Amino acid sequence: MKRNIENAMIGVILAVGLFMALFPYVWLILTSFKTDAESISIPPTILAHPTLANYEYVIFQEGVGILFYMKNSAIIAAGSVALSLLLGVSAAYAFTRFRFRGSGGLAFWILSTRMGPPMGIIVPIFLLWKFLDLYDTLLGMILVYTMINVPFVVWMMKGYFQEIPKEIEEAAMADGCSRLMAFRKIMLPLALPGLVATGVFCLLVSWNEFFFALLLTGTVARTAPVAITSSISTEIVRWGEMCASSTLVLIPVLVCFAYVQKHFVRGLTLGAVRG
Amino acid sequence: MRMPSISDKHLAYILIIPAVAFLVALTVFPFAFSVVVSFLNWNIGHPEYGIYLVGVKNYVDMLSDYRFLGGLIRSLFYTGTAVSAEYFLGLLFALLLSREFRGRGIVRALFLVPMVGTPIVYGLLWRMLYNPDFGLINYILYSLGLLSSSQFYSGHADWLGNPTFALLSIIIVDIWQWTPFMFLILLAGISSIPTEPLEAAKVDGASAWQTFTHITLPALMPATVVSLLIRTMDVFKDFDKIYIMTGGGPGVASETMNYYAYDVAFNYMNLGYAAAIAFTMSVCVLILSNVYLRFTRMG
Amino acid sequence: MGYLAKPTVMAPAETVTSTVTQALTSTVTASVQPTAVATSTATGAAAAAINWRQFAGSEITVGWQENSAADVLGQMVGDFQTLTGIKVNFDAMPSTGMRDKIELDLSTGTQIYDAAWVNFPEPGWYKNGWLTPLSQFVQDTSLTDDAYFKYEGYPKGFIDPDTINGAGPYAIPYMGEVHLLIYRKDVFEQNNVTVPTTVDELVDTAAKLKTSDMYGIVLRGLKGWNELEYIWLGLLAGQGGEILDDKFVPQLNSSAAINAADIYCNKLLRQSGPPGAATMDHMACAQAFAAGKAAMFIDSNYFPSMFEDPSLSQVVGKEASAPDLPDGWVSNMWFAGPGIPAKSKNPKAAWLFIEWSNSPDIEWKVLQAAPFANVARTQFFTDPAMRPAFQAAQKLPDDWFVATANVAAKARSLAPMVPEYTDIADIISLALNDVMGGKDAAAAMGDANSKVYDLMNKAGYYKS
Repeated sequence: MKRNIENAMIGVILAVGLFMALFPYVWLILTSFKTDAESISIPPTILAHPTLANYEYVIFQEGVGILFYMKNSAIIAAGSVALSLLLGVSAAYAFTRFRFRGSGGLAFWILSTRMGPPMGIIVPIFLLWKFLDLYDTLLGMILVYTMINVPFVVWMMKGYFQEIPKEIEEAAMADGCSRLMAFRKIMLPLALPGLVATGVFCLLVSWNEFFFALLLTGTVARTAPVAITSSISTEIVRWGEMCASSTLVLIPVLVCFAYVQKHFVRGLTLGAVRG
Repeated sequence: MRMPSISDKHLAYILIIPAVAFLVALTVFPFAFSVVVSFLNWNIGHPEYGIYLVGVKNYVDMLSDYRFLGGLIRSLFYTGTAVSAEYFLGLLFALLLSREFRGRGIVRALFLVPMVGTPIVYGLLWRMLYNPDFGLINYILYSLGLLSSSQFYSGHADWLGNPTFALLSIIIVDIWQWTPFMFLILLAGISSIPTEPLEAAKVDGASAWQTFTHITLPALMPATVVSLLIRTMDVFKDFDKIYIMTGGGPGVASETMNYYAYDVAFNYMNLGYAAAIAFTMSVCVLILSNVYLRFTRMG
Repeated sequence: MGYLAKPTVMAPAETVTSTVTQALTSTVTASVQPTAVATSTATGAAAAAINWRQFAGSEITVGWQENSAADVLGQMVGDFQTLTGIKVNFDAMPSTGMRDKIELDLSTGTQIYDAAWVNFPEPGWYKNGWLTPLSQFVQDTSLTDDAYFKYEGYPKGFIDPDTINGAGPYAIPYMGEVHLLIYRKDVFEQNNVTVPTTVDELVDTAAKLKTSDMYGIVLRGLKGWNELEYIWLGLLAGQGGEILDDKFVPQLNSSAAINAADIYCNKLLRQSGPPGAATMDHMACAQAFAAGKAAMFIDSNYFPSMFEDPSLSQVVGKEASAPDLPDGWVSNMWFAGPGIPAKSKNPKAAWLFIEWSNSPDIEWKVLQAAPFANVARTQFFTDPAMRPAFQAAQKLPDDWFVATANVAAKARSLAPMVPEYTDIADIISLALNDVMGGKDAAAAMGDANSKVYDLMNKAGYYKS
């Protein structure tokens, strides 16, 4: 009996949580199918006159179309996530498993590079990028986002690696594994949930970042978030259009998420059967 | 027997150097530039004033600048409220979803959805939702009886336009967006807890609360610290939402230190002063993170 | 931001609060000769008496403001490239952040843009020499064929203020606007109310029409030179006030200024306007009106075309523009268009682009594909061949043409042409926001006055 009441309460909390998490999205998608007039109607309606006009406009008529910018965002995101994980995981492993002089200070310095607000460094980075010919290039944006993500990866993975007892690895190495093998076969699988979470977060930063993208890109490397703001013309916010381009920009990330979810769950179950 | 190979110390360096070199190459110039500029009088909009060293004058000016002090307080309020709420909600849902039940995978996945979108889009979306005339939130409140008919139809309940509620409204958006992040990190942490201690505790007859406080929570420490650290740093610097939802208004009611720095840099074009504010922000974050780390004796 | 209202006659007398007189084309033809616009781009432009290909092989980057007209222009850029052999990187930037980007480029001298969109006014940009004065290009017959470009097709009111210390203009207007009193004629009829002709009548009408689900009036309240201050300046000037006198001493504590603050913030907005007025920018106000929530709106003459668009507005057919602003309220004006950064590596090639994009030929083509009411060229309104099409496309009622003609005849730029104008505007806006929040108008304006005085003093204006 008590168990049932408990479960019911939990169910209610979860349901409320789910509703809160999802209703803005539902509204976003619904509005993307509304005419501009309906999107500002009082009281708000669910969807009286569905139309595809908004999607047609953002894909075909508005300048080069949102798909081009999404392609840019995809390339930049893939590049920066790969590079950040490569650099960050290596460093995190070293910090966790090796004691050496100054490791604490160095780790802290790495973290500190993420502490400064973009305002302080945007102008010098703009000048530096221009000087290095990285302005308005995909590579330039990849490097910027890697710069933002590497400290995050180092610190996140440090935390996850620290949770894995040294002894497991050492036992494997005593059995004849090289350090690299031990890493691949033991550390990585055990830290997989953390790795997935970290990678996902890097992806999100690269896909969704706005301010640096605004100032460091022109027509060649402009990313999706910046392109979405073209629905805000100086006269009016075309809500329907904005929701359409936003929904399109959301889809790849949601798909990625759905795919990653499977591995995420697998990683968690693997963790449960350990030991 | 361990196979002889490169010494551990060398291996450590080899693994760390790429990350460090990368960061050094790309960040040293900008950060140094920014710090140096904070000691200059440099107003790019008034080249005729000249660029010259003024020592700590920018910093001293900050202390008597009411907009800066207000911004600092608002930043701290925003960060404190948002991060605490996100942590507690994230922990709650992580615990609830760490037990097995049918459909758990899907529910978990759905919970993560708010995290994936663009802050700029969220700013616009929530502006639409908060709109006192055609926004959905007021309509829901009105339907639930929490808003009177006159309040609804008069458009008086303006969340973003009210100095008392503007910042809170933005904070709510941040909580909505980032609780899934905390949830993700803490869930990963919970699932990494080895099962033996948990089973042993059950066998010993420990209550759920005792298990939680003596086993789960301590084991979550590293994940807690990291997530709190990262979120604090990020919330402190939050910009996009404020930029697109209120522009720091009404008046300066939702203007955080970071937004003020933007205003100084891009509207007043006073780079020296903006750099000083930015540097002060970095120092604030530095202090906060040190506090976290000392607290858990890590790092 | 703006829409343009360029009606028939701009009497040369009115312009200028700026202390500068322009030294440009002095002949302003009061009525524009109706010109048959060539139907094909190639013949139209190719017929111009200049060598379009004199810079063939060069490459320019053009920064334009993104909107539907820009989308159309962007698609036509290929024609320009064929005509001139100049490669154009046409960047239509979202307006959010566009100015930040351009200013960053201009101030750091990174030479990204050869032609850049300038939102008037930018006295700071002009004073710092970041833009090239364009008169040299306009008057250079090897670069400009005036029969094609029709420079005199722009109202003096849009050219004159765009100068500083005698040099200018710094941008060729593409879009421009003045302010109209827009109202709900159905609501007026229902309540037996006539159009207010004085500011006092305006206050009374707004109060009378305010109900629980309609605001008597909406006005921009968001702080900033291009929002609250932009509209309020019209009231200030109408009440006989000014921000700075000709010695740059602020006059915000004058009775005219205090009165203007009191009328705008207390009598209009607090009494009959929306409660969140202090965060409402032009979009929020327009959307409130379009959603049927406001009885009156004083703002850009662009908006009636939006209000007559069924996909954007719920008050189609119910809005009207008063023939003139009430006595005691003057219209401010604004325009925007491309200028040429001083550090551009290809200024002349960039000028050819501007000559092409701003020519009546190309502008008319863009207008036909993406109509917008705030176009800067007079002739599209006065040319009998063009007006009907224009009116039909915008669905603008006749009262709009009447109103714009009347208002534009007296509109002038009211922003003080000093680089500190944004700082000044911020001080004023914050003071006005305070009044909206309940602070006493005299106290707030007195406060603002001393702050502006300090600002100008620090900037060195009072050294004799």
